[in-house]
Amino acid sequence: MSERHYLTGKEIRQIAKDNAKEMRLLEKNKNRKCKEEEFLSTMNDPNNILEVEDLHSYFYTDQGVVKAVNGVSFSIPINSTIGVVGESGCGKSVTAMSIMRLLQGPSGQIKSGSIRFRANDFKRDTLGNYIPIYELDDSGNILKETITDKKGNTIVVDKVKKDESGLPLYEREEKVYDIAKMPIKEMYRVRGRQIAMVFQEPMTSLNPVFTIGNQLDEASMLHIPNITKELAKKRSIHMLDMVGIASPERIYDAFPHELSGGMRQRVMIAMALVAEPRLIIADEPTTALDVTIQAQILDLFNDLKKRINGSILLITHDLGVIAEMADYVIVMYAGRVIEQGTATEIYNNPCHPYTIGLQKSKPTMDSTKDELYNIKGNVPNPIDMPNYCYFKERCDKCINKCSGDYPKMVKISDTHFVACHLFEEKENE
Amino acid sequence: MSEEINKSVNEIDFSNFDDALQEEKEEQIRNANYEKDKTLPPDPDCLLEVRHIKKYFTLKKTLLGKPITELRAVDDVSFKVYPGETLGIVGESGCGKTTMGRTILKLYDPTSGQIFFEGNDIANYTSKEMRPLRTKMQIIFQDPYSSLPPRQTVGDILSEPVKVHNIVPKEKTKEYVLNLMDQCGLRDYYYERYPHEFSGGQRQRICIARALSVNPKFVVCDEPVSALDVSIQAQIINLLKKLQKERQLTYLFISHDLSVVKYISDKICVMYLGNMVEYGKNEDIFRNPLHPYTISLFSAVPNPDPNKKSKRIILKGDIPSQVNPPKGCKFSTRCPNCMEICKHIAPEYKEIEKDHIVACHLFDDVNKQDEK
Amino acid sequence: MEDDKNLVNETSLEEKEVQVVSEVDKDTPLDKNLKLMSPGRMVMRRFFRSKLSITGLVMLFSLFVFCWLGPVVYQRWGETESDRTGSIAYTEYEAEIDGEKFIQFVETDNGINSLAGPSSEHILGTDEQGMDIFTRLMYGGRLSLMISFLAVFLTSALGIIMGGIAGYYGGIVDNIIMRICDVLMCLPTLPLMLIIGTVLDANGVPSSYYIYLLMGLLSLFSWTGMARLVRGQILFLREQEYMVAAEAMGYSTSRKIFKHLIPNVLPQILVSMTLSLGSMILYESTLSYLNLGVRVPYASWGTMVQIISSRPDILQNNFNVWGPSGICIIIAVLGFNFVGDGLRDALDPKQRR
Repeated sequence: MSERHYLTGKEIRQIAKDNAKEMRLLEKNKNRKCKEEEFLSTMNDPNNILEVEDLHSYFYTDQGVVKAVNGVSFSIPINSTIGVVGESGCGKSVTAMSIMRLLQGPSGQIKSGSIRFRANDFKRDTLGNYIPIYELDDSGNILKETITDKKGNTIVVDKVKKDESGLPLYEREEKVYDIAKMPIKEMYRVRGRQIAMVFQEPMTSLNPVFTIGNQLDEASMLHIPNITKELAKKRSIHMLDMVGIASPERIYDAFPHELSGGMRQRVMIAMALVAEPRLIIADEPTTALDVTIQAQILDLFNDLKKRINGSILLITHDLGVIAEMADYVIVMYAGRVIEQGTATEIYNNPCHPYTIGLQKSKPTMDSTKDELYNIKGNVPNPIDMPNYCYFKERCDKCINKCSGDYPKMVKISDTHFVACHLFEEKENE
Repeated sequence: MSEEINKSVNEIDFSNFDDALQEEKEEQIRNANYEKDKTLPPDPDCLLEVRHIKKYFTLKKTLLGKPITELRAVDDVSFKVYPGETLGIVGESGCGKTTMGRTILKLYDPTSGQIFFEGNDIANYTSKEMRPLRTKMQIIFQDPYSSLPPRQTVGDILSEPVKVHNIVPKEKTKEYVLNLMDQCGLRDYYYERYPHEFSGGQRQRICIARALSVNPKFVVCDEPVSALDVSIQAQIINLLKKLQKERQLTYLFISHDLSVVKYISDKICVMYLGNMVEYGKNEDIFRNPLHPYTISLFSAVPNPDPNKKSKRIILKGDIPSQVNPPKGCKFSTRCPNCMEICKHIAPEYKEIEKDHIVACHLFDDVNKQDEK
Repeated sequence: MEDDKNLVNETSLEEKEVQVVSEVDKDTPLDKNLKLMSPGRMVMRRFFRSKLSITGLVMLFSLFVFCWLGPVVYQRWGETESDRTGSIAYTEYEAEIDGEKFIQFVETDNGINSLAGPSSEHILGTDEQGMDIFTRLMYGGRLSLMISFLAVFLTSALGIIMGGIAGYYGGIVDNIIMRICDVLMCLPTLPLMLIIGTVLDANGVPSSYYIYLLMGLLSLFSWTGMARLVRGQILFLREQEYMVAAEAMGYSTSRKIFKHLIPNVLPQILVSMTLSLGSMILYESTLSYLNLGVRVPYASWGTMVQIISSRPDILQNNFNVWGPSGICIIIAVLGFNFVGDGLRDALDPKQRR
């Protein structure tokens, strides 16, 4: 009942000192200048588009270090939808923010780990310029064309290959970046172009003083080299059409405040799609929306999944949404992955007591029970996490071993893994 | 609505239908209904009876204070709540469910209508007259973060209402509060802590404890679990159910989450844009939803079973603005079964089964057949 | 899949046998031992995180020590005491006694040691009337700081009351008060002060009361800022759910205002007060500079700078006469602003970086 649970002045100063040291170091590393080779890497599995390995993202707060993401590993195969599910504070959003390197410094930092991303980046010449693809004739010579330059002179130049909408094409190459090691200045290569993000709050994620068209065009102009204004507009309208907006020309000239939440979320999705990214991170894209609108957006995602050439990382707290959308599911708890597997495996055969509890505690439309199953207790405070299984205090299947080390990932099937001592023993036998 | 409309539905030529005239007519009929019901005595069995309650917010007014633009948050809703039961109110954002909860507690003054609480019409009570009644009706809010005063300890928050309303003698206050905290699953050493030290679930428990500290009979639960995590939601729902059993509480449970409402409610009222579109017993509504909105709302809930990819009815478009709602039936702009009549004439409430009321033109014929 | 299910079942059987969970563990959940920062410490930590606010605090602290403890320690000269040890003057009188003429020299000691440079006798030298600058700096500081504190308290009291009424009751009351605010904000304060100063002068009000009267008047004009702040805060807080909850609890109006509203507006008020202390010191100096405030021989920082308006030679040659008080004004204003900014970061979580 006393003040005993408060930190003393001495402890606070100690924490501040330790934090300042760590933060300075990490911040320096983030802003360093380095050659490309330093953050190039190779994938473990060529079928993956993203591999996160042993990621640790910490927040250095005044009350201690919050290990928001504490050793998370997973991978995203090409053209798949991965769902990350967990309660608030489990580190699912921080994982997404780490992938985009959007953690708010200086307190939020990636402490260690690697995020390998297979980018389809533009090839550069020695001067750092993009290399256009030229049109060749049958014998392999570059075709020439005559154009009028800005001064009105006619000149003969090499003919650049263009796609059907008239965009000049550039040579691309596959590069594997380790995002965790990239200096923050180099992130322009990835953000928006290769990985795009859709945020939870559609009401605040569009700039209120520019029209929708303006903001979409800006995204195109930024990410697509040598695109003209006319082409950008055409592209924006095409994107708006693609996300199911009924009259794209009208919406193009509208301001964000004229649109409803569902419409804005569609615009946000269109904006994410502009540069044809390889990975779209959707951070609780439907949480702020009403059920009927959520159904619309989920439907849109399901439709886009088939049409775009990329993967989706869907972050949500709603198991229902996950089931509708995801191929693979990652269940997170207190900064760790506790179970992962295909959607059917997680639904039919949940192994971790937390996953089981999560499933049972949600009242469903066709169940009638007198008392809902509930997981007792609260999510532990992320400062000073215990060194044993984080779920132990809330678990109703504890065994002796649970007081020991944090459990390792146990393989249940080729795609299904769980971190729980109940299964570790089984495996050993 | 009026017999004139009912008999002539098929003959009306909607191509040059006078919407303004129709609106005026409907207004008249509604006022007549209101006047007629006004004189009826309250149902003595009810704990709470709400009759034709309206709450309009004035957004713009003339210099003399005459409203120009109004937001019709709650537009003519009536229902009864019997002691010990739970009425669930479901609807999307902007359907006026929160406004209604607060209007019933007189946190907003109703624009018109009657609210009978234990047989007394409290609609025109002043804030001072309401004070003694506050011990009988309480509210739990959606956001456990902003509904607790940040500069008071849990002990202060919980003992203040007890002291103000003299629930127990002064020297027993602390004992009473600790007992209450125990009932709500709060540990005794929380007494001296501040709200910011707690997680959402624990805060919501504090809110519940605060609401129950004055021993109310009737509690409005305004989306008490929607800001919480799934595993915590279950705890809070169980707690609410346990407390209801222990204290014979009556709940008005407001939520946008159908599965939660289904779980906790005895009766359900589905709202859309300030109107009640369907009302009935829990089993009836879920077994046999009638209104197209209710049906699509049910189908929109994502199913956690990936094997059963449900076929959804996806509603077109967005919820219209309450300031300028569509004419006729307010759901007509999104309704998959919209007919011509829906766009012009507001539907009347019809009792399809016992205690199962719906407002939809699809069921116009049902009543007629019954009458015949 | 089949195997997996068996596995689960087997484990659940197994787990019943090995359920040896220590009860002690269950009773001491993680949050019992969890250490957090107490609210006071959190504010302290946020305040002291910024170097500027520490600098401001040090500046203010040293100023206060200088002004209030200084005269106690350094008693060599009084506030209005002139140094008359300047060169002795002889006056020549012609007198006639018994028909004889004498020339009489009378020694007078009114020779004022004016405009002396810094020396061991006068740490910062003397002004044109031979008064010790260092001593006057301390006494002047007392007056300047005190007056601005008084003015700020008066301003805030008025502002809190008016803003509180406007914010809580709203409607017509709010409209009237806010329109009064608008009118007051239209009035040009300084010219008005000049006029009032002249009127006071003409009516023979003693000059030592001037500054109090004028600062009082100033408060009457400048409560509008505080009133707007308080009104805005109360309007914001009234919409907070805990205020709705207080209404639902059936608390009386006075309890709602004093126990729930005011404590939550207090931080913002405190910040605003600290920041306006700086501007009040400037106002006092301005008024004194315009010869409307404290008048010689009494000292205030503004009065001490005032000399340069009539004596350009002093501005040019004697920095030690007007410089120190100018520096003191700057230090005080900066100090209050730094501390105010620090307090805002510390107390107002919305502004937190």
